[in-house]
Amino acid sequence: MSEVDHNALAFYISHYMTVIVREHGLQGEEVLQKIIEVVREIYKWVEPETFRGPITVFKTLNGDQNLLPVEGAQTILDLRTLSQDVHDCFALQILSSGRFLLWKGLKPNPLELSGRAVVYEYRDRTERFFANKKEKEVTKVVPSAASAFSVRTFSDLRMALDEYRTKMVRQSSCRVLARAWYDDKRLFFINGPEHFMRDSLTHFLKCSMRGDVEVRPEQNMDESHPVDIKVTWMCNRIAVIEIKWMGKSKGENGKINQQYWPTRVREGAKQLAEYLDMNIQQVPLHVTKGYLVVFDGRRRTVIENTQLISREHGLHYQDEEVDFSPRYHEIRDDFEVPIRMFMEPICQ
Amino acid sequence: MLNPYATFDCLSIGAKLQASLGNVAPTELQLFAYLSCLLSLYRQRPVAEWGYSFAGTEYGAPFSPEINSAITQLIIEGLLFEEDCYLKVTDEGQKEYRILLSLSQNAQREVFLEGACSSLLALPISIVREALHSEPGLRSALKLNSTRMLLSEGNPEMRMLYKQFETLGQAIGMKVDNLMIPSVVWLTYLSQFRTTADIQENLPCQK
Repeated sequence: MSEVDHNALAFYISHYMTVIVREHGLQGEEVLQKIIEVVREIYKWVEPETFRGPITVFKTLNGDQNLLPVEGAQTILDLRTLSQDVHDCFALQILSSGRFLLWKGLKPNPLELSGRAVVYEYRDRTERFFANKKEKEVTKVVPSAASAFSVRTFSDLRMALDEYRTKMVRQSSCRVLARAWYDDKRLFFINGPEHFMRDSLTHFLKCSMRGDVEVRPEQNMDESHPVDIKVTWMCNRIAVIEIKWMGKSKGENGKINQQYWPTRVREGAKQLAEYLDMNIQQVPLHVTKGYLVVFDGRRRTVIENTQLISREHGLHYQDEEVDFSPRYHEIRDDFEVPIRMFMEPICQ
Repeated sequence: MLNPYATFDCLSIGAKLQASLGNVAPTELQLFAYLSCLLSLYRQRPVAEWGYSFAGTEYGAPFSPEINSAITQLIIEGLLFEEDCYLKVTDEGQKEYRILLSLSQNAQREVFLEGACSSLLALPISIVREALHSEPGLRSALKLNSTRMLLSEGNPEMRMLYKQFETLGQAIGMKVDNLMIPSVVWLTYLSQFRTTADIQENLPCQK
């Protein structure tokens, strides 16, 4: 057998699905698919990224057996209620009737349950299946996703934003975004370039996000708090995107009329954190995440009559990240790491 | 003359993908029809029994002219609805699908279509697409940057595919009822394997 086949065989044998079929046979196959379907349904209403877990989901092999004390359990019919009922860890047994037994705050030993059940466990962005005292981790095919079974919402959005940065922003390849520049060399923005940035990003997201998702520009959180873009999934997820830019802009008279630096971006972060606080009160059943997108058109030593720029000065800020204080993305679960998108000038 | 198998497959795959993704792109219908055909080979059915053929495009994507014609005709008949480059199976289309499913020749293929589409329970569609770029036939089309017929008995890619399925069968067992399982295990391997192979061969990553 060739080296590749040997590697493949080893991979196949150690895959969690193979282990379940090997340990629990045909019953294991049926139960596995049911568990995955239920876990996917759970993650429509509970965002795994905001949970440390453990989240334990299991189904017994021969009918419905009581592997955990039923006295502490609550029977539920609709998994939607989990968005309100659970906060950090819970265990859920899938019953044949289509109902579920829920234990809030319980952390059962999955290995013990796995003798007579197939067990799924999520713990701090790692997922495992257990069958007949065997344990197998789920391969992370999308490293940025907290769960392989979660509805692709926030991780899809993050990937779309990364793609937008690389494909559209770096060289101002998007025609709409290109209109944000005052000059051909991309040294100065026009006066008030925000709406071109917002329209460009909105259009890109509308084209690149799949499924039941709606992307809308300029949505009011309330009368005094508009956000630049709001992404709403038909399950209970919302992303609010705040756009800020750095660099210098010129008015129609050719004079520099605005210049924004990291201070402006820090203000944007504070503003976004306030939106998110308000949002928790307005839509408590939804899981909301905030995204700060920064279009970075900073150039070194550019003054009003500059028409050409060297590579050294043009790209001076390309790796200079904004130092945030407070670092909301580290202290809040609902604040994504800010995404700075450097926009290259055309250098000499 | 429309190919009846391709017509049924479009409605079946369309209905399933619509349930999980909201809609379906024509290229996704092609992709999942091809994956379904591969699962029938895993079950050791002769390739000729699938009922229509596939070519691998220079972009590493499968393409069946029969599926393409079926999509066009189903749109004309109002069984598929086209909106913003994506398709939806209309209510009439869903009804037609259920009627066609009651025919025994279609019921037999449903297990392969179900296995292929259920892979989306465990893998995102982007991974399924990327993984299939590493399937021997599609990989060869991509590598040679040319369109070629897929699944021709006796060619080296076909032998390699059978070898992969033999190894997969050794690990999982040919008798596994639910074809989602070999499908997901194999695609996961291809998606992981692709990363290293691409670096070695400097192949472009298709999205």
